[in-house]
Amino acid sequence: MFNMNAQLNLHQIINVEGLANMLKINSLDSFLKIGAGLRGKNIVFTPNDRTRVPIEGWRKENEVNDYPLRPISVVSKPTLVTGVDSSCIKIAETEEGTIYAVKCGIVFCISLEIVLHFKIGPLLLYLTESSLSDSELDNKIVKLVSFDPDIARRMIRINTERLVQSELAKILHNSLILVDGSLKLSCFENRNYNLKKIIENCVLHNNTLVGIGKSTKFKILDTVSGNLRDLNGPGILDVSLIVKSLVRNAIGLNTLVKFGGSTLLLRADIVEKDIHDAAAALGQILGNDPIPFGYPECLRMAHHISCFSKPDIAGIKGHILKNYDVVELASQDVRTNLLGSI
Amino acid sequence: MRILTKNGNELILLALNSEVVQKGDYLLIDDEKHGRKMIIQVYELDYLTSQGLTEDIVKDEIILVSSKENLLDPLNIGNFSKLIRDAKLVRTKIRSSIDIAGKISSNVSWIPSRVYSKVRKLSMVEIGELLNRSGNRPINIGRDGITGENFQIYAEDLDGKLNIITGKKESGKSHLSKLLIKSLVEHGAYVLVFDLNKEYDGLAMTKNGKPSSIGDRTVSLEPGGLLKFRLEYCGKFAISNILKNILEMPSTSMREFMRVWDKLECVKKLDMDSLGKLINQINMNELVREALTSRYHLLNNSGLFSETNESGIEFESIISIKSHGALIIISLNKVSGIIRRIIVELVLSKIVELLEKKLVPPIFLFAEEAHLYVKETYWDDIVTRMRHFGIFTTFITNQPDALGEGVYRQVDNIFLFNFLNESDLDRISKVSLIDNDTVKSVVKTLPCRHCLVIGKVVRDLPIVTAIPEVEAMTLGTTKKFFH
Repeated sequence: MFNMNAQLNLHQIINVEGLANMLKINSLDSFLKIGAGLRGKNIVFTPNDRTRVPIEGWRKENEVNDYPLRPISVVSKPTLVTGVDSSCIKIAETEEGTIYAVKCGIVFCISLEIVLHFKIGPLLLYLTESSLSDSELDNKIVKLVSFDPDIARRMIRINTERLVQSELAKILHNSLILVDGSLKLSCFENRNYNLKKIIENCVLHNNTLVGIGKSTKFKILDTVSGNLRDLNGPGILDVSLIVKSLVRNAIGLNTLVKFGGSTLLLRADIVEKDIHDAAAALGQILGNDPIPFGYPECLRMAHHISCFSKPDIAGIKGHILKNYDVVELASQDVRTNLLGSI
Repeated sequence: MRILTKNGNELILLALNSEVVQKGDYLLIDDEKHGRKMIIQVYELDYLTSQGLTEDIVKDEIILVSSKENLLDPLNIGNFSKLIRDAKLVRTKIRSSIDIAGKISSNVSWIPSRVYSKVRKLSMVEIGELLNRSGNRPINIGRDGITGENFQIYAEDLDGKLNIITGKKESGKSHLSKLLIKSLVEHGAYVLVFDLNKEYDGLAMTKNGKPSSIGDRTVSLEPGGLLKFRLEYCGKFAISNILKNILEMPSTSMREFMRVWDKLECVKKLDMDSLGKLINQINMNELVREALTSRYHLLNNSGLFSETNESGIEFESIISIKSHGALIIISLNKVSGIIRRIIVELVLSKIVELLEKKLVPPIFLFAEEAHLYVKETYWDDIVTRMRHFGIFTTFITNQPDALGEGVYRQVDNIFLFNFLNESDLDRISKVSLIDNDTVKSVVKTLPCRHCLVIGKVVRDLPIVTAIPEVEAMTLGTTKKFFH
């Protein structure tokens, strides 16, 4: 009888005020007061959880303009510019592990023309606890990779790209090797072809390694980029001081770069000793890569080559079903099934 | 192949590149779980298309033209994705099902399982067997485009039937009509052809100039030559029909003509010479005399009538001599439009008379571009009336709208060759015995000498065949300046 009464009077026992009081003593309490902090701020909405950047930058006030800025001059001397990119997707799961597929694209430009491209893959990887344990990865990282597909994908991409960059660094001479994203040491680095070794080979063969990021999560860089933004042409701004203070394992000269008069600012890590050499290297990129939208064409094309298409994914499934004697089980999307729609 | 969707009586299948089917092919869906089979026919082929797939193809093409590609695909997964890009949607029409006894049934009130059904192509031999036709006189009218299997119809299924052979110029209509004529004569039938281009004479000879299998059974009649009739043989009915229908003689003049004819008949002097003299001598109104005289001169100058009563052809004599079938070719190539019409009227009237009197057996009539020598209404009459006397007509035309609705309503078999013109296709699809989609899609893409056979000869299962070569001399080809 007591239970029945409790059920009937549930709204008296747990009411909205009670819930609100519970939140006040919560650790989220300080974040919940959004009004004062948010009022008057610039805002960019991020639909579908995607990163978006304001076209004009974040802040106009408190701009700091004493970071070294250099315009970039086009260097027309024919130099090979190489772009490397990769992508990795989760394909399937088994009782013991997960199957991933990776694709890699390598594109070569010279004298403003794309001359050659390589399409590597799709290659399949089967990650199980035992196969991960056999690798040289740290035990804690093995656990992370086993349980988190995002981390696993990252690990696969880094290793694939490093392998390709390592080979390129050895084969090429007096060239530029462009990679997608900033240059920083990762916990997934392999002993044989890690970033340090790649840089070493680049130096030996007189190659320049450049990591180009499409955006940065450091909003502070916006406050220092005013001069570069206003520059009527290609330019480079050395922000190593800021980046190195925020990122422990950042490598090379950390810069903000603009390849055209009114194009977007990019983050670029350049393995050169100073901003003069870095500007010269970027000038070689300008003189040899078409750079149609303020972003190197070889990287853009390498990205498209490495992307998985629907036929690729269907092809991978067909390959697995045909060649590995697997039994496909009926499956369901748990979230869709349980949550459905209203 | 896998079943994807069904929409009305249309089934859409998914086929990979290795599974080669063509428009017009028949497929058998074997629903193994439920023990039922369905017969479907391919009428359209499309690519499997989605926005993503199209974008991928465009992207790949752009990358390929941008620079030279080097591919490292150790697992050969690229081949799988190429298969997907080349996957096709096979649009089919449900035609019939096969019952437990293995016979064709029109019961298509069920749909096959998408999971348990197996789809395979039906061979021409299998289709022939399924059609459950019976006949002792096969006519090989083609072969399957891919496997080269023969497909036969039976002469019995053309017997007593009205047929149309139609298609655009140089699509192979005459070719098929020659094949049918030759085969019918080989099987002992009597065939009458109105030949506009003097091309059917070639059937009497092989390509190297030797007599063909029907060489001794072919009679070619040319106006002014062998095609000459005695007035008495033609008879009052046939001549008065010509005067009335072709030469549009008024009724008063017709009465006077009958009087003249009767007088000549009484004195047994029915010949052109006597007819002309009597028209000039007999007492009648001068205007009527003038009307009769002008028509007389036209008939006399046509070269169709013998001067005296001694020479002239008789169809029953030809047929009695050629006891194992005959091909009678009436050449219409060198005569004017009005003479053509006179010839056709005369020949048909005489044949009907002979059939009524049972002096000749039923005859197959092949009329090429009939609208050029007979009015539309007259053909309606021919197909409705003469069919009962024993004239079984096959029209050959490149203008489907030249034949009246009445002809199409009574048609038993249609042999459709390629048409590209939309209005012709519209006309054909309205009157044909199958759905619009099949006619429009299949006929538009038929190669030369391929035809879609519809009707009783194929038990209403439309079939595409490639018409084989006719072992006969090619005549009637277009004269050219440069060759």
